Amino acid sequence: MSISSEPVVMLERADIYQGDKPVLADVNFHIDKGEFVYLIGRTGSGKSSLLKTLYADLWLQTGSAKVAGYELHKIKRSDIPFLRRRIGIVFQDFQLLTDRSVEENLTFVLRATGWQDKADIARRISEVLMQVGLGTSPKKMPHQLSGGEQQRVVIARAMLNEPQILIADEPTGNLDPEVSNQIMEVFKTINNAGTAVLMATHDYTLLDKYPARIVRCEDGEVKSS
Amino acid sequence: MAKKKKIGSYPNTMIIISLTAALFLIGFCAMLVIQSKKLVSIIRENIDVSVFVDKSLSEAGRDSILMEVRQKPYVQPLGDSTDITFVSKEQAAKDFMEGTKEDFTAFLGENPLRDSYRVKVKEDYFEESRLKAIQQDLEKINGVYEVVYQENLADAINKNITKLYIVLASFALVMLIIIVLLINNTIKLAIYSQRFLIRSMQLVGATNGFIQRPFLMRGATQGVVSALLASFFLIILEQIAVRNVEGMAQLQEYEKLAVVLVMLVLLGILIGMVSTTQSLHRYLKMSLDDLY
Repeated sequence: MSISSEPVVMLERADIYQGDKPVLADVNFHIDKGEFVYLIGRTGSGKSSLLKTLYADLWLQTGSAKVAGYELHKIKRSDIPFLRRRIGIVFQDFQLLTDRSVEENLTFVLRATGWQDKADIARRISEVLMQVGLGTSPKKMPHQLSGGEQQRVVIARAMLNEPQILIADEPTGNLDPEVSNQIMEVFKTINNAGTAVLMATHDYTLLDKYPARIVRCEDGEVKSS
Repeated sequence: MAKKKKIGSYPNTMIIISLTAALFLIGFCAMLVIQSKKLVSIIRENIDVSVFVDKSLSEAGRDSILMEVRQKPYVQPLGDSTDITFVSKEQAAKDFMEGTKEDFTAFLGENPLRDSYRVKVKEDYFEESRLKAIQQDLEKINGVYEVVYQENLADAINKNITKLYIVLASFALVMLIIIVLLINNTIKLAIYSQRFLIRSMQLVGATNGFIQRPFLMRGATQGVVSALLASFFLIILEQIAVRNVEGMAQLQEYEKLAVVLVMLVLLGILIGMVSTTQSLHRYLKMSLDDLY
């Protein structure tokens, strides 16, 4: 099988647990390289548990899954950081560090993932900020930025290590419609450049405006359209 | 601007105080071992057995005893001869009077002491049972009135020092347990207060090694600082003892003391890092949701 045609995410007969409690059973779906997929479902339907399982914050107990080349049913604890470097995470509970500037937030991530050369770090930060349309704000503190700008920085942070897929949980949840559209444009730009996107959302207007494949979590199952 | 929260930083005064106390006690035990060994070795080198001869014995008789004692295998050789000193009864009386400042011959009317030989015994025989055997062997010689040696000296030294070791080692052990608990608790609080930073690091793909490194560096630094403080206090204590206790200077072995201090530093680093590592392992394995 050619590596280039391999899906970025592939789940087969996977059961998703939150602790000891099963939340989704017999999950089967895949996301191809460069694909844009929405994950929808009611609160408590298991969306977050599914996403957590994809980046190995929850262990996959039954079935099999492969994400960015790592087999989650076999993954060793020591491999998890390297899996996460191939995934960009945009989450509500994963906010910017408020005690440091945009540039320092991004430097922190690069240093934590093994980057050492100052020139390389500066170059990469400038690239991702340009990518999300924030080229002029590296020295600003998070509280000096608007909600939309902060979310752009969060997306920039997720893009630092050139992930194969961006996983976003309600990235527009706290934003007004206009800013939501701007953020969606950023995701689209990133997606057009070849990075797959899996976005959990409640905002169904986005689904109409930016149509893409939809995966639903309902009644303890995952239904892929 | 608020001070940036740095990963791996936490208050460490209490840890350093406790670790210093434990290392001090351990170092003190080690110094006692060295000095008691030196003391025993000095005593061994100077051990002698006094052979008192009969009062009526002639000079020829004394010479004959001397000849016979020289043949004994346990007598310490001295050059071509053996280390045996003759102490006349007059000399013994003089020594005694110098010690007591009393002229006992004045009220006794005569010198009741006897001529004796002070026989130095080889170090190997510095054991209660062997000294007893020597005593019995020498008392068999014709003309020997009595053989005397300082009984139970070696055993007394060893026994008392062992008691002291046990007490100090118990204190050190209690201190070590306190340190492990203290470090464990401090690390738990540090991880809790830095959970957002740690969460961020974990989500972006920082390895546990990378997250642990600053904590471990701090653990090692605490070990070094505590060991240096403990060494400083030990040196002060040792100097006070040397200046105020007569004969202490003779017991000092500075090379061995240096080895003890180096070992203390290594032990400090080891304790700091091992207990930090085990605490980190416990709490980093824990799901961050549990820590929240």
